[in-house]
Amino acid sequence: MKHTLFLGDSHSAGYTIDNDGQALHWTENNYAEIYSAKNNQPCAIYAQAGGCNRKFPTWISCLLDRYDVNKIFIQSTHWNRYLVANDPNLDLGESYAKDTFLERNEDSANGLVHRYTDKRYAGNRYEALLGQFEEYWDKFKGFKGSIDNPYGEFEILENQYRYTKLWHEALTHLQLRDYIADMTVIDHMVRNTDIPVYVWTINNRIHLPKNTDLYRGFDNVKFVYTSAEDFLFERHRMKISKMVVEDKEHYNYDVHSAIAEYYLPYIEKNY
Amino acid sequence: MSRTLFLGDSHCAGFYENQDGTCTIWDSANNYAELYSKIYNVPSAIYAMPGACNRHYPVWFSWLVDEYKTDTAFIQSTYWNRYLFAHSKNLDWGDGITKDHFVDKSQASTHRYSNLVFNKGRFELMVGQFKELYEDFKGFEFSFEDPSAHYKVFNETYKYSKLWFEGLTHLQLRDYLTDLIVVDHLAQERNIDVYVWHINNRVHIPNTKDLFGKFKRVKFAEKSAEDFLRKEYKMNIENMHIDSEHYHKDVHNAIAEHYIPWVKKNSK
Repeated sequence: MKHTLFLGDSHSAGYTIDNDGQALHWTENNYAEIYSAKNNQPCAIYAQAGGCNRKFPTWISCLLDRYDVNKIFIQSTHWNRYLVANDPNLDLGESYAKDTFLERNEDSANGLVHRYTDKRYAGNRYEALLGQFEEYWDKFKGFKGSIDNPYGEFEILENQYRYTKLWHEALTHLQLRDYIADMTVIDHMVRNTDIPVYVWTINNRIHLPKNTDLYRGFDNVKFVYTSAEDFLFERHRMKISKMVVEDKEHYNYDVHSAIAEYYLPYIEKNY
Repeated sequence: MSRTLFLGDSHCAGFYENQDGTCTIWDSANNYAELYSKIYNVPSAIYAMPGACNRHYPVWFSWLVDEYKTDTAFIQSTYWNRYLFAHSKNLDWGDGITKDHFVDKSQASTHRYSNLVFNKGRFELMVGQFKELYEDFKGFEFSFEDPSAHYKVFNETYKYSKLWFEGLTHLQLRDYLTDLIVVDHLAQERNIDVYVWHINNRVHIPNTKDLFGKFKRVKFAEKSAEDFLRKEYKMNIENMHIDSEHYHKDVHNAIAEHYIPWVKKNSK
């Protein structure tokens, strides 16, 4: 039987906080696993707390090598999440393989769901996610480069990484280009198949670009512009921003269940 | 009329520095692409810019294939550790931007294109990580007991973290392959053969190319122009410069006459 793939961040990884404030993974608070159980659908989930589009092409590539697939759900996550890495071999990735960081976790209790995540270290190579939270914000200082002063541009290299990354990469069209390129790679990998790829957002704090035709349109990738938050509010009178666990960020079981039961089928039917 | 496309950096833009410190650009005699077009009577279109890199190429290629009917494209793969940075006055993440936003069409009548640096509240520039910007690696702090330790990367200088935590890692490989897969994706539907080549041995071409599956229309030349011309024509192009970096017209001519046809025939 074909597998359905789910990619995402902590929301896809069953992340929650227990009463002692401890972080837990692969709990029942996972829309993907609930969807699998409700539909008796074998699934594979590749997710990591903080996961973002810069990870997704590699994850899809790994999963397509392992599974016969019928559809893919990609939970598009917050922008201004970056990957950083280090490689003491300094070989520009020559000894890197797509599954270098892949880690398979324990299957779901019913055996229907195969769970994957990324480890941070593989040998002496690492890859980690950074989120640019408000405590890393610095005010824009202006830009000194010009046609008359071409070396002014190099001043930005001397600023802190968090500053230049934010003002000269992230909050610009360069992040859009990376996002669209990542989704284009995914579209390319499923080209000439009947595998739909649904790209959706869990709440309204997540940016989903409108001008997705920067390089061309998409064939299999479909962007869903109604977030789960809006859908569940409009159709089911659920205000999910109030239905969170202790950390005020992650949603309770009822939200995950509603996403699985109502929102994902709505996406499949309408996109 | 079908045109052959050329994408590249200064070498593709007829660029060099004169003895008085001024720069010349779009000198047809020092441009392998224009020479190829002339020698083989092949209409061409060029999109090039000093310092250009793979991060430019998907959007350039996308724009060119909308603009021109083509079945052949040559992409000059350039130095790694070249980055783009930008700024948007509107802080809008690129909403509404189109692929031609930075296209400099001032030489469109000769089918030569480059990038504008500033346009309508946005700018985009390239920086190269030259040796004077280098700092030694200081180690990496990560701890499962202190998961925020690795955020110290944020507080280092951009030049340092960009080099050690992005540039000299598999992340740059992933970006490079992502950019060329986008080109492959566009080329596949239009039946365009795309040849990726490099001018000298200081340019890195990865051996690992299948992270996202095999390329369908993009092919890679296994030998640089430098190696090819040394072996086949006894030319040592590293001694044939017009300035400290750019090649003499004889090199461009040999690339046009001998190397590019070889690339077309032998790339895989």
